[in-house]
Formats: sequence, structure tokens, C-alpha cells
Amino acid sequence: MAGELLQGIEQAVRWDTMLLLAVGTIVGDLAAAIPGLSAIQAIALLLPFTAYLSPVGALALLVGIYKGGCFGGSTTAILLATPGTAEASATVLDGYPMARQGMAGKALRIALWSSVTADLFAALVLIFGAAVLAPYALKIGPPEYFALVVCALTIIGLVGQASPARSAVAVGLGFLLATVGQDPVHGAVRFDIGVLALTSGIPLVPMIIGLLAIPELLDQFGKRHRSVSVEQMRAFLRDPEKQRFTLAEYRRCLPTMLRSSAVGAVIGALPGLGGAIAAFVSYGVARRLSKHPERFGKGEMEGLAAAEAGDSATVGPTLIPLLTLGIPGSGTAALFIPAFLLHGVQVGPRVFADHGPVVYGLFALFVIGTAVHAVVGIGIRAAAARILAVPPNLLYPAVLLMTLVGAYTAETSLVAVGVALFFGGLGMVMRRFGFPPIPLLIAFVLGGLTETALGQSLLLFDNRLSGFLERPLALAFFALAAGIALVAARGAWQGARSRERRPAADQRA
Amino acid sequence: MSGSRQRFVIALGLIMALAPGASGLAAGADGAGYPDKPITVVVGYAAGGGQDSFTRVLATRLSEQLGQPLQVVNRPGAAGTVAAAEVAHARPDGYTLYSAFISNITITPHLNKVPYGLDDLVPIVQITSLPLVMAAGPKLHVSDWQGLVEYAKAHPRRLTYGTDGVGGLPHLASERIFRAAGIELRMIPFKGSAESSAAALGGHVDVYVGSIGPVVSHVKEGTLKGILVTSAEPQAVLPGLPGLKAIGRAEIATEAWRGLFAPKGTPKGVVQRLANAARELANDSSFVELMRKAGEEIAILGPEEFERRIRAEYEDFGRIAGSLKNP
Repeated sequence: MAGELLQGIEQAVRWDTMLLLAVGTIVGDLAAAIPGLSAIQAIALLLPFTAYLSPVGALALLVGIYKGGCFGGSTTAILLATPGTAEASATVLDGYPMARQGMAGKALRIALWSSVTADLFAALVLIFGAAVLAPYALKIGPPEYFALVVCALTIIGLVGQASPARSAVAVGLGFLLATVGQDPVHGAVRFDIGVLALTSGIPLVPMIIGLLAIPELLDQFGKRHRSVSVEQMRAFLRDPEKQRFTLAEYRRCLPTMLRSSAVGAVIGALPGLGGAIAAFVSYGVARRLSKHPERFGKGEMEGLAAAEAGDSATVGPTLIPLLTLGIPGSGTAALFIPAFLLHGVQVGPRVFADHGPVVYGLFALFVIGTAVHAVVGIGIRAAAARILAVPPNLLYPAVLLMTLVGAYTAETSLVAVGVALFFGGLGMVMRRFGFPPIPLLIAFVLGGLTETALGQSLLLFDNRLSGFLERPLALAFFALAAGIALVAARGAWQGARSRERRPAADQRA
Repeated sequence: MSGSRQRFVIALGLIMALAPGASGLAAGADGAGYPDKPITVVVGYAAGGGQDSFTRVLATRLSEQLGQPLQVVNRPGAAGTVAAAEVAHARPDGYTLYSAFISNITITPHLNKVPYGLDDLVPIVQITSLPLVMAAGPKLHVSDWQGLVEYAKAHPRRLTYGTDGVGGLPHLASERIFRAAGIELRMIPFKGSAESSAAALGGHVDVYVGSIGPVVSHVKEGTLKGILVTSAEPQAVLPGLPGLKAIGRAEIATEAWRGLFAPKGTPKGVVQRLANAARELANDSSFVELMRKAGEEIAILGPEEFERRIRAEYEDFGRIAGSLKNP
């Protein structure tokens, strides 16, 4: 085994492998920054080409794209409130306010270093935790998924929003919208309004573009008086003091990053959940544990760090069920199956015994890839922040057009553009009347999962709800959810009491 | 703008306007000169799925045969039928093809309303055949078909089986086999065979029925206990498992297939040229081996045989789907 280990590492540290890793990271980073393109498409396009590479070379390209693609979406999320990928939606919450306050460079640096930290953590989890975690992933069946989603919803709660009632309305709307399309369990088609493309549900990326990006872009374009003028923004961007992410600040964020990495790693190892949910749950945890939850959503660096770290930590662990069981943890991880097959490697329980060098090479790539990710990230970020120095009357119309093209590219269908425009309109109405879009988005993403898991559970239990009582792991998740809800309710009650004493103090909190 | 430059621009415009027409002329009814530009192959599923991986591997090999690149385009949605509808209404010039899975053509149209009929897509060639496998999870203590039937008869509706979704091929094939044996298992649908195989491995469902690819190493290792394959004969990739002939049910053998289709009206010569190129792949041992590892056997059927198979199957599945709707 030691020989195979060395052989694997040897193949990973060659200069041509490094080059492929760097190329992959750049491609993934840029693809993710553009709404509508993602790591999945980049890998799918380059897959035939990997047949001509060595197995470890092919994996280097894929690992690079995967890592870059998991992070790149944050750039446009921070600079323009336009998440380049669904996974970067939570990054908008605190990253974008920071950029508006003239700290775009700093926000990009926080995002990068949170991602790099989580990435290294995840690589170590992949290498040392695969054997331990894989059997646990199997213990999670439909009833446990349902309990887990309930738990996630409780943690995310009503993420940092002004009005609980309005957030609740948004959550309800999100759940309702998640029912559009084919019933995941019984197969009946619902609310498709006669559009064939909608029978598979409302496409997520165009919906995010509509809800988050379009209203913000129109708002910025329409603003005559800005809190920070273009000239001030240019001065800020040139001011290194304002853009620096200091070591002391990194230390302050480190506990949040590590906690979020752990959350992200666990969610990543479970098939079907994904980076967007990991980012929102990490954000929810960070906010619950923060001493200053009221700063979240207004440019709090720990909020940004939590969102980025939670998402990035899913990258390595999604390969755990793939390598050990042959079950991909995400859509991107699924693309590693044909990549392995092209080189005659069948993933599954025998992969370590049959193809040791390739697997150890992959592990080495994951560690080296973290350093490459940091270097590429620094380069791209340095160029990206300057985009805010472009005059708004040129910048925002161009970005608006780009987002609509992005909606089209994501689904290669005009229906997607219609969806983006519809949710753009809905987003503007919601903004006008103070309904937050993020709870709607979270409910939409989790709604489908909730329905599927509950439907499957009831089929498994032959429609006896008491079946949940026979599943200890599910009960544990339910108890955790109840505990979190109790603590939150107590906090809210105390908050309300202290507000009664000084009514005028913080009306906006 | 000077006169010569203006003429140049007009000439350029004319070339651009005529070029598509000219290429259309080049590929006449006999298929001579086809293909002289890249071919688009539309897949009805997202990148990374079984059909997508299959198509991408196929596209690389076919472009070597045809001397033109084949570009794979993903048009996911509505169980692959959005893509089928699009190709059905595309220009029938052989430059837009549909990479189909069995259910897109012969099953889903029975379950959902789709804007294309069996006649709107011309079968070009069947490439691979994929029998399904039935395997028991760790909590079910049966090791063969006989044992499963006895247990299920003693405990009606107790056992569950996981598939890749309602009305999918594993669902229909299993119901046909279980009914013939007079047993009833409860079907639990998952999103794809990766999830249903995980549920079987974790013991959340008792039996897995689905593609061989996701579980081949588990069946070989014994973490899932293989019961049978749904083809009549045993399969090379899982040599120990009986086919349906061995249990006396050869007449209900079911195998999925993947193949290429073109819009109605595509010249016969073009269809033949594509079918011939695909036929060559059967002699490419590395391609055969690659597909076998993924749980698929190369089983080339030319346009006529493929069409006969599809028509018969379409009738068959219509009957089963009808009986599932009104049991």
C-alpha cells in the first residue's frame, strides 16, 4: 500500500498535472462567476478530452474545475448581488452589503480565504474520513432525510429578517412554488400551466437570477443618490487599508470557518443535499451562535465567511459516497463516474484495492488543489473588484442583459428567460412591500426535498405516521430541531421584553 | 465605404446566406457528402447522468468514424421528453439527432402527454442493450428468486423495492415479473438509480431493481445479493445470476436500450450512413469493454430491426401502463 501511495503522489506532483489543475481551477472559477454556467457544464464539455490524458491528469482537470466552480459564484454575488451559481446565494447576504460600503476587495478576500480554509478541511475529511463516514451516509434513509430537512429548516429559520410574519409568508410561497411540476413520489404533473418544460419544476438558477439579481440591478440603476458615489468607490478600491483582510480578522473568523466547514462536510457527504443548503445552514448556525446576530445581513464578515466555508467544504466529501459506494454525492460528483470509466476505473467498494494509485493520486490532488485554488483566486479577485469602478449607467444595464443570457444558458430554453423575468417582477413587488426573498428561496430548495422524503417515508411505513417512532436516528434529528426552536423562541421572547423597556431603540432589528 | 469594400461585404453576406442551403444540397437523399459540418446530439437529461455519459463516449467514437465532431447538448426536462419534442420538430437534415433511452420513446408517452408521436422520430440505430438487475439488500435474508417468492407469499405487501421513479422501466418490468409470480411488493420511487441503490444498501428498501451499472461492484462483492437479471439469458458482466429463462418466464424478459433518432423526413442515405458508422463500433473492443463495465452490452440494431422492436415494445408498455393506472 505504501508503494501505491507514493506512486499516486508521484503522479500528482508532476508539472503537467499541476498545469491541468491550474487550468481546471481557472475554467471552473470563471464558469461559476458567470450566471448560467457552472462547473457541471464545464466538466461535461471537457470530459471527452480527458480520455486523452492520464487517469491522474484527467482527475486533476476535474478536481480543479470542481474547486474553482464551487467558489467562483461568490465573485458576482459579492460585487453585483448576482450569484453566479445557486450555491453562492447565501454569499449575497453579507458579501453584497460589504461591497456597497466600499469594501468589495475585502469581501472578496474573506470569501477566498474562507473557501480555501474550508477546502483544505474538506480535503482532509475526504482523505481520513472516507472509511469512517461512508457507512453513516448509508444509515440515512428517507425518514432520516425528512427529519434532517426539518432540522435544517429550523436552523436556517427566518434568516436575519426584519419581520417574522413577512418571512413566514415568503416561506409559504416558496413551498408552494416547489410543488410545481411532477410529483416526486407519485408522478402526477401539477401546476405546469401547459408548459412542457415546467413539468420538471421551476428551474432554480433563472429563479435566483429573477429574485435576487434583477430587483437589485434595477434598484441600483434607478438610484440618483448613492450612499457611496462612484468617485468615492474608486477611492475606496484604491485604498489598501479598507480592502485588507488582516490576520487578526482571519483569526476572529476562524472558529466560524471551521464550524461551517464541519457542517458543509457532513452535508456534502450525504447525497442529494448540496452546497446551497450547506451554505444556508452554516450561515444560520453562525448567526445563532454570534454575539451580534443583528449585524448579519448588513455586511458582517462572519456571515460571509460562514456562507463561503459551508459551500466549499462540500467539495471533497461529496466524493466519499462516490469512491466507497459508487453513489455520487452531487451532480458534479456524478461526472467523475464517466471520467473514471473512460480510464477503466469502476468506482465502488473495490476501488481502493483495484486502483490504489489513482485514488491516492486523487487525494494528493485535493490537497495540492487547495494551494492552486488560493493562487488562482488571488489573481482573479484582483481583477474582479475593479468592475465596481465602471459607471453605473454602463455597468447595470450590461449586467442585467448578462443575467438574462445566463438564465437562457442555464436551461438552454426561452422558458427560463420567462421564469427569470417573472421572478424579477415578483422580487420587485416583494421588495416594495418588505417581503424578504431569501426565505422564499430556501423554502423552494428544501420544499422539494421535504416532499420527496416525506412521501417516500409514508410509502415505506405503509402510511403509518407512527413509523417515524421506530427510527431512532430520525427521532434524534427531530429532538435537535425542537431544541433549537425552543432556544430561539426563548431568545425572541427575551428580545421582545427588552424592546418593550426601550421601545425606540432598535426598531429595525 | 469604398466600392470594393462594399462589394466584399455583399459577397460575404451572400456566402453566409447561401452556405446553409449549399450544405443542405451536398447531403442529398443518398447521404453522399454527409456529414460536412458538426452534428448536434441532444440528450434529454442533465450532464452527468447515465444517458449523458453514454452519449458523450459515443459522440467521441462516432466523430472518429464520421470525420466530423458530434456536439452533445443537454436539454433536460420532463423525463427526457423536452429534448425529444425539440428534435422531432428540428430540420430533418441529419445534423440534429436525439440520443434516446427506452422510456423516452416507448414508456413516457403512455404516462404523460407529450407533443410528439412515435412517427415523428425516425429510429437510426440501437447501440446498447441494458438488462436490469434485481438484488436484495442486507436486511432481507433471501439469496435467490425462489426464496424471494416464498418470503413474499408468506408476508404479503411486507417487502418493499426501490426504483428510479414511478412509471420508469424498473417499475414496469418489476410489476410484470412480480404479477407473473403472484406476489406483491410495495414500490418506493427514488430520484434515479444512484439513490435507490443507496437505499437498498442501507436496508431502507428490501430489494433494488434497476440498471446494473450503479450496483455491479456491490453484487460482485456481495454487499447486495443478486437475484436475477431481467434479460432472458444471463449477462457476461454478472455471470452467476440467472436470466428470466431460468425461472421459466422468458416471454416477459425486459431490457432497456439506448439509441439514436432523427427527425421524421431525414434522408434515408443519411440514416444509413449513421447506422453503418455505429455498426463499426461493435468491432472496437475498447468501446465494447468500456460499455460492459458500465453494465451495458453493445447490441447494434439497424433502422428496420430497431423500428420493429420499438413498435412491438410500444404496444406492450401501453398495456402494462394501462393496467397500473386501473388495476
